[in-house]
Amino acid sequence: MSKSIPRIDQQVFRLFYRELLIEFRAKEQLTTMVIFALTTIIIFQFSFEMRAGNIKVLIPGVLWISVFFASMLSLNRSFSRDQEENTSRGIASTPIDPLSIYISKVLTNTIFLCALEVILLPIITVLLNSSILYINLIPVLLVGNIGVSATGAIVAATLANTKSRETLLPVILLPLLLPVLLGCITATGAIIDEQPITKYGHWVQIVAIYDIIFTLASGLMFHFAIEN
Amino acid sequence: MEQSITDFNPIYVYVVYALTWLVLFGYLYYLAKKQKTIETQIQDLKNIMESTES
Amino acid sequence: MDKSSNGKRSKAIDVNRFTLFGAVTFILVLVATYMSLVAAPLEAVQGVHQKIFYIHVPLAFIAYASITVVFIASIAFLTTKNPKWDRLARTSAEIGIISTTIVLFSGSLWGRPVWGAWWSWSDARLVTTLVMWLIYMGYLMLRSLGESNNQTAKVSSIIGILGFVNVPITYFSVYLWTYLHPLPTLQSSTERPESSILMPFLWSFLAYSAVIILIGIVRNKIEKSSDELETIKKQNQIR
Repeated sequence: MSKSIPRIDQQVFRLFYRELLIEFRAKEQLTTMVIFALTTIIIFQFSFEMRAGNIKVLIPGVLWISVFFASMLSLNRSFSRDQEENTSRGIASTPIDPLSIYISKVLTNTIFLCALEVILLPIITVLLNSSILYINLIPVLLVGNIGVSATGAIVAATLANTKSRETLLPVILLPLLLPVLLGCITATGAIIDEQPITKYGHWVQIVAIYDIIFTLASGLMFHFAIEN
Repeated sequence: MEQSITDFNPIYVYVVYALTWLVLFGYLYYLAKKQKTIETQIQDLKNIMESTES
Repeated sequence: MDKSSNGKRSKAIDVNRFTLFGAVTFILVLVATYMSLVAAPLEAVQGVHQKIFYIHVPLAFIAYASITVVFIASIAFLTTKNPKWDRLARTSAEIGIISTTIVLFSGSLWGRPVWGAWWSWSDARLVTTLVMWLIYMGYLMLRSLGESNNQTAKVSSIIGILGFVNVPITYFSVYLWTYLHPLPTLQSSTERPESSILMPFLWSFLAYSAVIILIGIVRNKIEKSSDELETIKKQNQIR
């Protein structure tokens, strides 16, 4: 180990690598997320098929709600694992910048969500019999994933030290993420209806603005969230 | 949805005012009571302390 | 911790001041109610229902002001770690919830006769206020479920800041969403108020602000006393 403190991008990379390594070994978060999202879709299918004749109109909502809740599982696990195994204390005792912990957590969760969607979209296409594999969907998914992860990471980190984290995480996160869900669901709907980019481009921008604001605000405050 | 704008039944206004006062003053009352309980507790503890000290 | 016992005399003065303030508040509420229900003229379009305005709008101001205070106090707490800021944030959050609750039901009871609907998802203000209510309920749940220590204070400060930042974005996105999905309703018919409406409004604003300040004072007292109680208990190891 070198004596000098690594640059922030190196810190982020190492922490990110650590997260991926844990996931690669345990195969815990991603598996849970996929299975959970799948279950959600099946439940939605059964609960809406009878009344809403065309399930296609519900797909954007179904997709983003399952992504939201799956991400909740993953974030909860990610931070409580660090808490239980005292990793967070270990990391805190190193000269690592809290900002790089935040960035690595957001990055990891974003990657997990992207992976989840790569698996989920074909499954939705098959199970709900309607193709949603549009190339235009990629930016929407990306800004949405970043938004969910950016806010989710800081809220999960702050709640990780409290007793009631499992119950409170969705309660606090859902209203905070409303702009993201609103924007992404609307944009996804427009894309599925094969509308031109002028009909949904501003939604991608709004969610991107949300991402920037919340990443900055959370980045500025993250050291408060993990200090003890 | 068939309610016309000219329907000037003031019941809604009364309900709003009544509920507002109920919420505000009810909460105030609740707080005042809570404050009193805590004050009594503090006083009790102080009394106990004094009696044990002497 | 502030100087806990200033003797009986200051406490008596405190009580007197408090009673005076309470009495003035009560009179103000009566005046405001008289001004808005009796003295103010009936509005041409909405008739008597417009009088809900005198409750709804002042409390909406108060609600938004209190979450601003939560925001500022949370930042101040995180930077200074002085528990007095945390107390202020908590008190304002509770006031925010109380006033937002009143705003929500008075808005709903205003919408029913005037718009013909209890609720409209196409009104950005309505939806934003509801989202705000949800966030600060979460905030208060967090506070009440956690132990009262520095950790909880820090955690809730962060949520308080994020919740405030979220409000304009939510407003804007709901506004845009409505703009693109014109639902078959209703623009609010509150236009620029005339002076006959403005004066009762100012009275109401004053009166309900006084009530809210009263609540704030009592709330702050409770915080102080319970801190004192904690200290006494800790000093004597009483469980």
